[in-house]
Amino acid sequence: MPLFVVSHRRWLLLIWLLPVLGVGWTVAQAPAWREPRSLTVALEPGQSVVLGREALAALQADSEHLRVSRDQDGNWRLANLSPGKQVVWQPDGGWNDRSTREWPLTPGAAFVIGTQLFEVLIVKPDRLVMQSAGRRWEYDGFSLRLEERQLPECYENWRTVFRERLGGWPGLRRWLQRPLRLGGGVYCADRLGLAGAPVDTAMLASDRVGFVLRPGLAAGRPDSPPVIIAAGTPEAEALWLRSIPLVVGDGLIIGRTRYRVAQTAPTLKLTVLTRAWRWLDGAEPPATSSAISVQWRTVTWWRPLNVAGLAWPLGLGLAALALGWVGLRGGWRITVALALAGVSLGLHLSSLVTPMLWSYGLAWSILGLWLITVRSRWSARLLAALTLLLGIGLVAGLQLAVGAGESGWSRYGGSSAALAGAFGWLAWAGWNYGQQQRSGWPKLCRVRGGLRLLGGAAMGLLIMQVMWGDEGGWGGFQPFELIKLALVTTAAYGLASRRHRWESSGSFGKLLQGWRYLRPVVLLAMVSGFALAFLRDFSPLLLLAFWIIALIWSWARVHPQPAWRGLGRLTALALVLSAIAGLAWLREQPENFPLDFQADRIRVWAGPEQYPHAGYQLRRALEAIRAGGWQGTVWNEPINGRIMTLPAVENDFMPAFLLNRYGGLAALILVGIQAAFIGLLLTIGDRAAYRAGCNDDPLTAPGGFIYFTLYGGAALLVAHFMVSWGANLGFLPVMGQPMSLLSTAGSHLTLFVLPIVALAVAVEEKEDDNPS
Amino acid sequence: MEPKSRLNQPNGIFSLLLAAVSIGLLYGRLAVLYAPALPATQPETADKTSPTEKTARRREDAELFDQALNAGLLRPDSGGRIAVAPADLPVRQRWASDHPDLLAPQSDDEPDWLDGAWDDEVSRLHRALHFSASGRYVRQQIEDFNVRRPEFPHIQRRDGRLVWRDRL
Repeated sequence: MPLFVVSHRRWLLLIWLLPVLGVGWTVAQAPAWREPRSLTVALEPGQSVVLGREALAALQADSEHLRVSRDQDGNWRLANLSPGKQVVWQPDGGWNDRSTREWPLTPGAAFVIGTQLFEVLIVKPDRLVMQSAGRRWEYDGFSLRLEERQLPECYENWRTVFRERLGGWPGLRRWLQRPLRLGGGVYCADRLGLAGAPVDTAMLASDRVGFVLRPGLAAGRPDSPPVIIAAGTPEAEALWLRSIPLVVGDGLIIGRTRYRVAQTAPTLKLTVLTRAWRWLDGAEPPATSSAISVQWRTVTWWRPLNVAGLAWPLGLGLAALALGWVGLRGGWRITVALALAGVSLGLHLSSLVTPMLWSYGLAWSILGLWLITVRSRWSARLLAALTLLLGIGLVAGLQLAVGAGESGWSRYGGSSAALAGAFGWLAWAGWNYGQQQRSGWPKLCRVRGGLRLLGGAAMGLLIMQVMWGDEGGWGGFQPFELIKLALVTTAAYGLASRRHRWESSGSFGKLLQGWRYLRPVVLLAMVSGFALAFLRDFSPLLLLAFWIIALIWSWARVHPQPAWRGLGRLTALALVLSAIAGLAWLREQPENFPLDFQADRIRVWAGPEQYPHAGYQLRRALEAIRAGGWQGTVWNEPINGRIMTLPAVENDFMPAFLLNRYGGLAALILVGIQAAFIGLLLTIGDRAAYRAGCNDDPLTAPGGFIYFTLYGGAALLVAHFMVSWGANLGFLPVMGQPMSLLSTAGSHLTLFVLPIVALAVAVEEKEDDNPS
Repeated sequence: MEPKSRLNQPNGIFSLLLAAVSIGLLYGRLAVLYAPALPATQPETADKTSPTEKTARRREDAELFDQALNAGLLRPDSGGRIAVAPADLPVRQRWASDHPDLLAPQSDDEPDWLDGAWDDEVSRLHRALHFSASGRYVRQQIEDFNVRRPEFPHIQRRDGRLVWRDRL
């Protein structure tokens, strides 16, 4: 037996080392990049220079993006020349981002759009009064009034009603205000039409002190009229060409590259902070103006770019250290684990400026610690599969960064690793705390309370997303991942409680009474369904449909009565066959798809060659996959190349990146490990169900609750794997879902995947402590 | 209840089956994608394609351009330029019946967009023209045409009609 244990540990060590070797190889064969550290502009007073993408080392900037000039007094000014992209300005290192083309309104000021003159009469934080062509206009941040008459909503819907009602609540008004859009052919609550000016030629937005005039989305189009500010004064100028003064400390974002003004005399020096365009060492960057010179640095994978980037990791690490030391009075293990969780979270928040290998190191060390700590064979196997899947994802994320021509790509892999590390160290602290307290499984009332708290928090976040977010989430966060976890656990709780009942009674009347156990999950599912319908994001509902089928199947296979077992399995089979038949029918007749706004995706899926624009993403993905072949391109070509232009390559289309760079054979290995991972989760679920049969209460023993949670979690993971492979390879429509443990999807990783794995490991380890 | 001993068995066979099916399906799909492209269609088979089939196979941008032109959402003006229906036309249509006093005055050189037909199909086309990837492309090409006509190769005038030519 000891021989087996040693051998077992060796295997685990080997598995843990494989991704380490992958990371080492990726770093070793990374291209030798150099990137700009700072840019120096040298101009005599009275001169100006036009700078573009190459000169600014900003890959996303336009070819002629801005004009930098120096007046006779030696002061520097900057004007944005790009027709479609803005320059963001942070005056003197503040946090207040603003466009350089922004003009604050003051009483008595005037501006002209096309031929129409507007005179500003009153400006207050919630009130703007203007006069034009003898008419008086008043705007409060919500609704426009013409001569005291409140104008109707342009589009009356639930959002406008919701905004109006909530706007009356103290403290919320400022957060719900919307800009007044100038141009177009109608007068309504948030639009002021203008003859000869397209919709959104300019907009008036409220800020802390009043209102500002900004260019709208249509500004810069050939048919848009000019917008003149400070009309009738010697300072009159086009809003489009408005310039700003530059002083030391100012921050700038040009085409997504971030700079800080480091010096203004005798030359203007801009320090390049993030997302710079890189060049291969030895390659000659294109010649730019003689007025600008670039100071280069070589890229290192361990050294931080600047000390300021360490503020978050250090701050959160020390705060967590203090909490562990003083607040919890735990042992050194808990304190150190909390501190490292804090550092990991800080690295996630600063992932653009901290070395990504720091995050990798923290994530891998805690994974190794878990691997040598667990005693159950099943949890060790599950963690080994997790190590391989997460390792493949992180190696691919590292390649995404080292092979890219822009430095900002490191934030994806770095952020995933940092979040995985934060979760792992936090779980480690929790586990040690539990061991220290010698606590068993939580009591029934605590489990119920915890599930209510989880469901409530998830619903609250989803409501925030409905109010202020969009399909992509809210504040960089995807609340639906927490909803998934809440649904899976709440449904498991309901089914496990019911199971306990039908094991003891089995009558149909009692079965109907069991409805009350499932009420919370039905309510949760309905509310999230409505919320997603409002967000027009239906793909998560498809995942949930898959989960429901899996729940029916898992419920049927443990039912005590053979008739119910057969009926349940038959139902699940019928639903699967119906889904397959429905998909086949839809592919043949995409024009019959009932939802108009998602119809494009279905049509693209059915005939991508007919949709060069709507199907751009899929066509590019298929081209990249074909270019990769079975062996991939990374072995001969360290630079990623054209695959980096595939939209959402770091997220939904990460499988296409893997197939392009590592080839089809690597994808076959990956899918095999994914299948093993699912199989292990189901096995642990089955073992938990067996133990439930030995105990009266399925919740005090892990039991049925664990069984249904792990089956539900595994079903959703299978749905993610399937939808992601399908969307990338073109056998399913594009649905915007990440591939678990491969794509960069922090919310999905930390709020859904890792909690499910942690539960499975905890169950097995508890069992190992108390073998039945 | 199924026998507990069966539930306690590792899902080995199931896992193997799942892995085999997953790898098999992925292998099959990749093999299709990696297969060399089929030779180009022979001319004689191309000739057999009916006009209806040819229309059905048109690209989305060509289709949208023709449909928007027929629906009056794209209008050639007297100077040879193409005018695109404004993005707020749906609100203008509603305002024309519900709040005609709240319609902003039009400039003299702007077509009267309210004189055309407006139904569900035109509304759908308008949405596609302004809020879809192909619509954005069509509008960009029209902007280029308005600047470069008649040298612009992508949209050309033939027999008094505007014709969209696919880019190769």
